[in-house]
Amino acid sequence: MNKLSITSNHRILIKQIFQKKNERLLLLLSQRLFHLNLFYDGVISYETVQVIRYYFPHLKSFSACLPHFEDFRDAIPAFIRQMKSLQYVHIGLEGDNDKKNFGTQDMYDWFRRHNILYEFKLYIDTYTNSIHIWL
Amino acid sequence: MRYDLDKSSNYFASIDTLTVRFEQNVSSVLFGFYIEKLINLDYIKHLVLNDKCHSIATFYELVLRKIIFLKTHLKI
Repeated sequence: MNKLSITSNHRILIKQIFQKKNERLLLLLSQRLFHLNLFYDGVISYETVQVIRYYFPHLKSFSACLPHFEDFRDAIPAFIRQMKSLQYVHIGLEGDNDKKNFGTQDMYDWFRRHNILYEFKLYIDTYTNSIHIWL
Repeated sequence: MRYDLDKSSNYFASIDTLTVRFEQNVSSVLFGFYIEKLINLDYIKHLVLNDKCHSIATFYELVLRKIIFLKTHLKI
């Protein structure tokens, strides 16, 4: 098994996977997984993103739903740079970015402005409010 | 669940993607027992946990079974 997808699930399971007491499971997963998709009814926390950076530095693809873009924009470039094997990132955003006048153009500009030095392909899906990044 | 699976003699040796969806909470021991009778877990490349009712215990069953199998093999 090298790919795990968790979809429309309770956030409890995702929380539990990353808990200290389940570290054995996490270590086994970290040895095996190259693709991790966490799409379920809810966003993952900043702490979980940090844990993923630590345990899964070799991921080739990663998908998750994150809270508002402005909360995560500082974390994303570091995440992308640290995950050396990453080829594809899909970030779902939680609602109302439009309400805050934070549009897709701003997201695009923001990615361009940051020192992600290599070329990347960015696809912004306004319908599902998500960003797909091919590195 | 027990009745249906006991009757079934199918064994899926080369399933690439396994999607697991539970209608209700299940015993992880029972699940572990039957999933091995049905599917060759070594072959699974992509595991999809869909919908609710998943627990860390059933997830453990899917991830650990292979490791336990390998360990017993190594001892022999």
